[in-house]
Amino acid sequence: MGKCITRFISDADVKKMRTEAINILEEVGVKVSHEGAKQMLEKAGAKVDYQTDLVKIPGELSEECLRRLPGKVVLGGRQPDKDVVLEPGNERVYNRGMSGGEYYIDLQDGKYRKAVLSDVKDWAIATDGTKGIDICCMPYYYDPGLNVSVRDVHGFEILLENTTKPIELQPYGKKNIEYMIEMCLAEYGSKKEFKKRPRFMCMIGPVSPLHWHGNSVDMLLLAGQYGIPVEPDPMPIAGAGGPVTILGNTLLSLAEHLSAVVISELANPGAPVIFAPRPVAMNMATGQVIEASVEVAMISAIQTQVAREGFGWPTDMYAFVSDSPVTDGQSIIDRCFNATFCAFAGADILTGWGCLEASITLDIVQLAIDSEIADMTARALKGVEVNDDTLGLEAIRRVGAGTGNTFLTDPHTIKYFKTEYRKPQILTYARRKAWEAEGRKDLYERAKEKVKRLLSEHKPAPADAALVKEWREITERAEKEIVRMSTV
Amino acid sequence: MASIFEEIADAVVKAESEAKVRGLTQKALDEGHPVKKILEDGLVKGMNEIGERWKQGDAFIPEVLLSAEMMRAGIDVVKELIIRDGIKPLGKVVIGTVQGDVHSIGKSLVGMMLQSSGFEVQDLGVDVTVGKFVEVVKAQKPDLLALSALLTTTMPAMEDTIKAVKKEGLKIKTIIGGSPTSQVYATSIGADGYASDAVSAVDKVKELLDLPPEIRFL
Repeated sequence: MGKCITRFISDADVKKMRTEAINILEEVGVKVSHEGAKQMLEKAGAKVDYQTDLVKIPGELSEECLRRLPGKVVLGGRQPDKDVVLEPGNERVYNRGMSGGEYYIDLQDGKYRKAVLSDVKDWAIATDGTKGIDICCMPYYYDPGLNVSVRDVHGFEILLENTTKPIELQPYGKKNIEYMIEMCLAEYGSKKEFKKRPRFMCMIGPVSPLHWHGNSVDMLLLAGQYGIPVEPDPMPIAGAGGPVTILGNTLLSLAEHLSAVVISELANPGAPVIFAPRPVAMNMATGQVIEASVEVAMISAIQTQVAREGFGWPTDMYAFVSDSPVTDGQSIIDRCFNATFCAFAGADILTGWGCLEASITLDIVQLAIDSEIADMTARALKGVEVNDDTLGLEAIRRVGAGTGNTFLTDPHTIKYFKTEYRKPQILTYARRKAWEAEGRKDLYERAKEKVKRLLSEHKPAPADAALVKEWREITERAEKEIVRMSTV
Repeated sequence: MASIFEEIADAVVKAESEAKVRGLTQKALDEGHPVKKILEDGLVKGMNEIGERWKQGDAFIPEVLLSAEMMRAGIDVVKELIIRDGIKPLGKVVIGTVQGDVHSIGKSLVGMMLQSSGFEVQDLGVDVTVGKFVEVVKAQKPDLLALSALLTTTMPAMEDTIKAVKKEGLKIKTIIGGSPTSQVYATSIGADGYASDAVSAVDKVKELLDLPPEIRFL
């Protein structure tokens, strides 16, 4: 029994979108502002204009690079039992938090503030101890005492120490990734071991429409050398950076991802690349972005289907997403809609746990709610297996028609009642009297209590003390050696 | 029958074609109407009307931008006369996305909205170094400097730019914007203003330059 998958467009439509994505790179091209990559692409048969950086990629070259993609992508936990393994026909779906989020809802007083360094540790511990979340991410903390240009390296160190789960982050530059690799090599012992199950993956994106900047290409190429999975995140704002229609926006993001595949596979054949678009639409009333409307959910679903069926790409989709600035009814509606669409379209990774306000704000309480939604999603994805036993044929015959008997103690009920139904973590099935007796707590209160308890009780397995020391030294070195991005 | 001014204003609002706006503006000139009146009762009036509709939620950003293009087409026709008659823009704004950041959509939107509201706008593009901002501000002496950033990593470049400009002792107002920025952040780095979207940016700029909200041209 495979995952229960819903299709949004037909085979012919998938095929057309695949063809058109390839055609866009051949006819419109992609701007690649990176000397080495331009030369590499030209050598491989692309038409390169060195003045404008415009690169036109012939269809055969795209096809060749698509064939080089690995069949399987592995992301390593501290121990192999925490590894994330993406391969076609995977029966499970993985989950991860949102990398980013500059603002934070304080767990103690509920106030909205900037994310700070200590939040990163809390986030790592909560991720480590929360059911259903497989990959840990970093809040964009603000610490005036630290060099902002190594914030990713600092955060990475904290995550390495406080979670045994694999890590995803958005690195700031090639040098930053080098320090992270150094930290990992200290743990793995060799590049060869690290490459088998790299401890982290990187989100590295183009700028829509169809432009790769040098810094991003540098990072793509370095990640590929070490087998670090990259997640290009095409984010054409529908109506601004990309076509306004659901399908046009989907198509452009596919073409942009394809360009990342071509660059990565040409430089490092077999480099793992995950499709991780972040569809958004422009709010034409204000000029700001909308991240979680039903139309955005539809873009996500169709992106997932074409990526999976048309290209065979592993997918990491923006599922737990909301435009609401607080955890409320809307934040739940938004993420349920988006997560359900992505999951049933067959996404491999569902992303965004904890995020609010179009990825600007994080609420750690939302993690507990997302854990519940993810668990429900996973249950539904399992679907049903049809056979005489699951149909209850014998039981229906045994109990009979209007006999006064019930199914309550029937062997069929005894056999299935514990496994057929999921046990909720924080949802209540209590009726009013019982609910009042339990303190009249709403969903948010129950989730908050759960997170508070988790943070006080959960102790992630400690990392090796010598390694922790070494990681610290590497971060301190990065702090000194990486120049602050902008200097007066 | 509608006056020529009403026809111009209507053509700006409906935004059917630039040629139509150009033709009507030329017609008004040929009929001997003063430039100031063509602007105030025609081109700018149309722009104000679409702006008002936008505020009521009846018009949307792409429509406002299209009307702005129409207005600019009309202004092109009377450009030389505007200079001759000494009609000045509301103020001069230099705008750009700060160093290390290559995102342009929000910044361009703010620039276009300012321009269509009567400001002279110089858009320096993306990934603008601190040095470049200082150089342009020193040379052009704008009334206001507008900085944009989408990445949290590049937000500090806003602070650096503002500090550098102030260090030069230049009398200039500063405003920032972009998804990760906020009023709190703006205050913390010494920016004079912050706006969360392109339209409130126009209002904020007027406020910072002590201009009444409804004003178009000086």
